[in-house]
Amino acid sequence: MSTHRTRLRAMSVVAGIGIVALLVAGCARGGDSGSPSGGTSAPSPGITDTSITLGITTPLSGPTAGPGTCTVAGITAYFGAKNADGGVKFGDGKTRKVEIKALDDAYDPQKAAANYDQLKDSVFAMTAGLGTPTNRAWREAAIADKVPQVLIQTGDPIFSDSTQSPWQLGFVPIYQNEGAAFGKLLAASSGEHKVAILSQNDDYGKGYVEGFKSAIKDASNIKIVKELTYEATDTSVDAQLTELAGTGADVDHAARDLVAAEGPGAQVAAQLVPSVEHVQPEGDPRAGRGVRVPRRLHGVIREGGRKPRVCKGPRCGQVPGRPQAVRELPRHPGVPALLVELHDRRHARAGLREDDPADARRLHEAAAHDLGLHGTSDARWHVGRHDEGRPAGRLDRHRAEVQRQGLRERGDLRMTTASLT
Amino acid sequence: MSAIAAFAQKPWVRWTGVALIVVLAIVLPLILPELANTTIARVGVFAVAVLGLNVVMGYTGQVSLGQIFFVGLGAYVTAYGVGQGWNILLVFVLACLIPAAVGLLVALAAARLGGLAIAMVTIALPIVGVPLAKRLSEFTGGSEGVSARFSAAPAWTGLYDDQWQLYIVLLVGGISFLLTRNLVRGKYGRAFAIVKDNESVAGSMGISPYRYKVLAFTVASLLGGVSGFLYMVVIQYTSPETLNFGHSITLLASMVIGGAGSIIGSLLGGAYYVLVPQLTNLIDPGLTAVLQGAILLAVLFLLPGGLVSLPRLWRRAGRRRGDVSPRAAASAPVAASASADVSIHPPTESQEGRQDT
Repeated sequence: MSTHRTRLRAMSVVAGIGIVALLVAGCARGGDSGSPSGGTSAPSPGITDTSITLGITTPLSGPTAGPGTCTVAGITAYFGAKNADGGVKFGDGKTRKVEIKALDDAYDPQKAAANYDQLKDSVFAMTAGLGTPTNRAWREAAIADKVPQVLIQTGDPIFSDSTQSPWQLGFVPIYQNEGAAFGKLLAASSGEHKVAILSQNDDYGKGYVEGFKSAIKDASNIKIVKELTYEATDTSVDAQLTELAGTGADVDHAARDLVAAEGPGAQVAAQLVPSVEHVQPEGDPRAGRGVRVPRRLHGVIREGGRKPRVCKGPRCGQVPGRPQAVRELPRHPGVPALLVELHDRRHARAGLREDDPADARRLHEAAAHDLGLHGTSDARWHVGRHDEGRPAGRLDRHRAEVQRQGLRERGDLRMTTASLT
Repeated sequence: MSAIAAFAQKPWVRWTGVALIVVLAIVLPLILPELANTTIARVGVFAVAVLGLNVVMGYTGQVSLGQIFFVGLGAYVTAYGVGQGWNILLVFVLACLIPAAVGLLVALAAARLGGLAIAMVTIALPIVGVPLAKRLSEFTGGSEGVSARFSAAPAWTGLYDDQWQLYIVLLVGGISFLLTRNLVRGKYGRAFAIVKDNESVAGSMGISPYRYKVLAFTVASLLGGVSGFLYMVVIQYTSPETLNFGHSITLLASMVIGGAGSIIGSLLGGAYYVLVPQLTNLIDPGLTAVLQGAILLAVLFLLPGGLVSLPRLWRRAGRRRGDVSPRAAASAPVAASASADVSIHPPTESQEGRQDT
């Protein structure tokens, strides 16, 4: 009897709450429930005649916080200056101030999608986010919501495919293009080359290798002898380098220059970059300090196994010999391989002319920057140090020191900058 | 105080509490804005993952650092199944069973080791999982990840996608919570508790610590798989980043912050996992990691028992003052209502099936 009454009472309570709730629900979202597709007449969010708001979701904490923080700082600084000057003139003739809303996703796709959900109703477009998975996580949602996802920092080709990604626009060249640029450069050089490939085990490394291979497909002078991979989180690639060194390859191609900018790969980059750029001669007391390169590799990248000369006298610290393949690269006598590659990429990207002295200088500076010589204004030093052997000034020596051991600290650009300035 | 406890024990109070929760679960998705719906859905996803972790750690006392691996595995199974065009119910069953089977295999080996050794074995799971997910690219889409958008609201419902997704999460998550609650409150829960407290005593009572550790681990993996399925319902994309070892640690921290060995604590843990990054983002996006660390420390200092001990703390403070705070009184029927659910949901065959393992 009592349980029966209890049940009755419970049911009446349920019914009461239910009725109230349904009434509330009827009112909720009433504004747009009638015409979910009638958004054409409503103005887009985040844009007025005087301002536009852009959203960013990018890693601001965690291992990839470096580039993410720099992106947001750079964008905020640039548009801050533009806003202070009155704003940016748009295609419709109106001048708007640009506001930035940046959120941290810690390179977690789930958080990136959450940030997108949070921002999408208040921003005109999403931009500048770093990372393939963190951008892919909400790519389809952005298409469905018709929110532009533009100038994002990933070389994933899907963002550059306008049929698959109508609301997307990539910023960095797709990885395949970059790899192909290296391949083309090598194929155009004279002589036979054996290439050992070391790539990051993800879409980034695979894209590079794919592009590289497609570019050398018809080149008979290039032979790939070995392919190995490393994880983006690896702190050492000693094992891979040793194995690649054993192949007797004379060119070591690695998707490495961007790695240096991507936090966890910094140590790997530190190992790779010096292995090509700053091989210390045997006997140099400074050799091996800061960078640990398997000795065997020295021989490999030096003209296919020739023993390096012992460094003596005042010119100690300059690289005495250079790999034959590198030396033969056209138009760049005496410029190390990595610089050549960087030059070529800048050249292609910026439309700069190598034979124009001003442009050439700019290329050198860019390359110097990429090598970690942040704040270097006189890039002649690179060539000078390697070729002319001109007496190094105090600053030059300091830079050389930073470069020699400092590439390790590549992750912390501020440190390098501070020590230079 | 006892008057309130007695009040909360009254059947009609408990039934009203249950009814209130059910009605709220039905109605809230309809009223709330889209952002709130997706956020609650995400809380649900990770609450289930934390719940699984709670079964193995909070109730059975075995340190597991691999829970995110099972979440990721469930998500990948779901993505693959959806990509192949399989029936969604079949996909769901597979997303539960495959992680459970893998969990069973791992547990059969790991539970033989005593103490923290099981933690060492489970650390390996996410660490192996990430490169594995990258290399098995025909199943996983490689490091670019894989999308599966199967959770759009059917036209006949007239619902928005976020509402539909939240309903799925509430239904699946709610059932997971109820079943787990029944598991840990019953015979198995008592066995887990004795295994946690003292394995020798458990053995002397005829309870095999090994078997129950394996069982707890398998249940945790299964719940991880459920969480992975829900992850795909809500986030609709998975990549090797999902399996990141760091997330496993965050899950563990969430479990401790929510309250180890507590059902409501799992829910609070899921809320912590999702809301704190969003909250710290609102305060200062550049300081999220620092703020999260500060919040973690603050909770552990002030509430060593986790957020779930907050009402108890208040009640104790209230008793000291000689009166009862209204908040504690209000929370009592809600807590009691959870226990009322037992009677309407008897243990299902899935649970009995697990006994055989």
